[in-house]
Amino acid sequence: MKTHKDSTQEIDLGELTSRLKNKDQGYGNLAKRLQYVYWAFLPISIVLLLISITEGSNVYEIFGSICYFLAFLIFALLFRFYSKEYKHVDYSEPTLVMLRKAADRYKPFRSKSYWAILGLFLVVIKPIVDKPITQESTFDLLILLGLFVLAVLVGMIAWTIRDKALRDHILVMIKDLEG
Amino acid sequence: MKKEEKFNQLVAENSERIKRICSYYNSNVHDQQDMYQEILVNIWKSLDNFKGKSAISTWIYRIAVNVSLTYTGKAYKRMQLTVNSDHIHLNSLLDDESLEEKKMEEEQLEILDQELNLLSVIDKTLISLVLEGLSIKEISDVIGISESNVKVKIHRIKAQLKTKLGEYIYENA
Repeated sequence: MKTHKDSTQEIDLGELTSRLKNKDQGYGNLAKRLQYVYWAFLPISIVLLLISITEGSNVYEIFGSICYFLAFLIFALLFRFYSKEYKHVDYSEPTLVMLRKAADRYKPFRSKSYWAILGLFLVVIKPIVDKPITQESTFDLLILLGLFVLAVLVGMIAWTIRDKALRDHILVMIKDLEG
Repeated sequence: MKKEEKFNQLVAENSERIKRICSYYNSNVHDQQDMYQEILVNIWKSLDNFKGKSAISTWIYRIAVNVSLTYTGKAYKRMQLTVNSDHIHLNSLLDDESLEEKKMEEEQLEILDQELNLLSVIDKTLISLVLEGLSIKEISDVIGISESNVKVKIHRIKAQLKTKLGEYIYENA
């Protein structure tokens, strides 16, 4: 026979409530600040693009400025999506719905991750494309691609160690519920 | 009513319920306490989203079950469904008359405890809600599967438990 001690006797509800309120405010403020930073980059990149056009920069430099603009736009939208998603992890949904969403969050490659890769690529490629294509810049591009492949591999290893078991477990539970 | 007052009232009214769910999922008192705090954190976070579409008890059970499942996520293999012998709804698992007579026997309860812990995490979750005295409709609302699916699953689990207990009684007759 198993008996259980009162698991909650040491919890001070007033203190917990106060911590929860601070946490709420903390989440809200952090999300707001980061949103401002990402969106602030956009007009700056537009101004830089306009300057490079009006100053008669060559086509490579203009293309490079467009790369920056697109990268910041992608990051701003992605951050908005992820912060919203994180903020709205809702444990009051039915278990099956909550598990399906969790399984999607723990996917190694979500469709939106490809946009992040594109954003990173645009940021790093800018210094390469705003110069005429030479043997040197082609070599730089190859190194860059190599680094991307390496980053993806490291990411996959990290996912396998950290999240794979959890996602597999979630998938088993979903199958069990639906079966 | 302010969020803080609403939260305090909810916790005061449902703390026993939440504590029991925590105890089903974990036998370690410290882990139960961590789980309990995590559930309260998530009740707070979801409180603004509660629109009253379901009963407040169903809503609380959803959060408690979902947090407990997530909490035990990485440690699910160690998850122990523990049942108190004085649990008021224990007979809902032992509704067969021949077994009913023997339900208070210590050994039989231990066998039941062992068999319950051989169930899958989801089956344990369903049984924990049966032990809480929830109706099929309420369990369906908490878990998010159809009522007929809940019925089938619970019937299967009960049949499985009865078979195991029947085998035990036969072997010891």
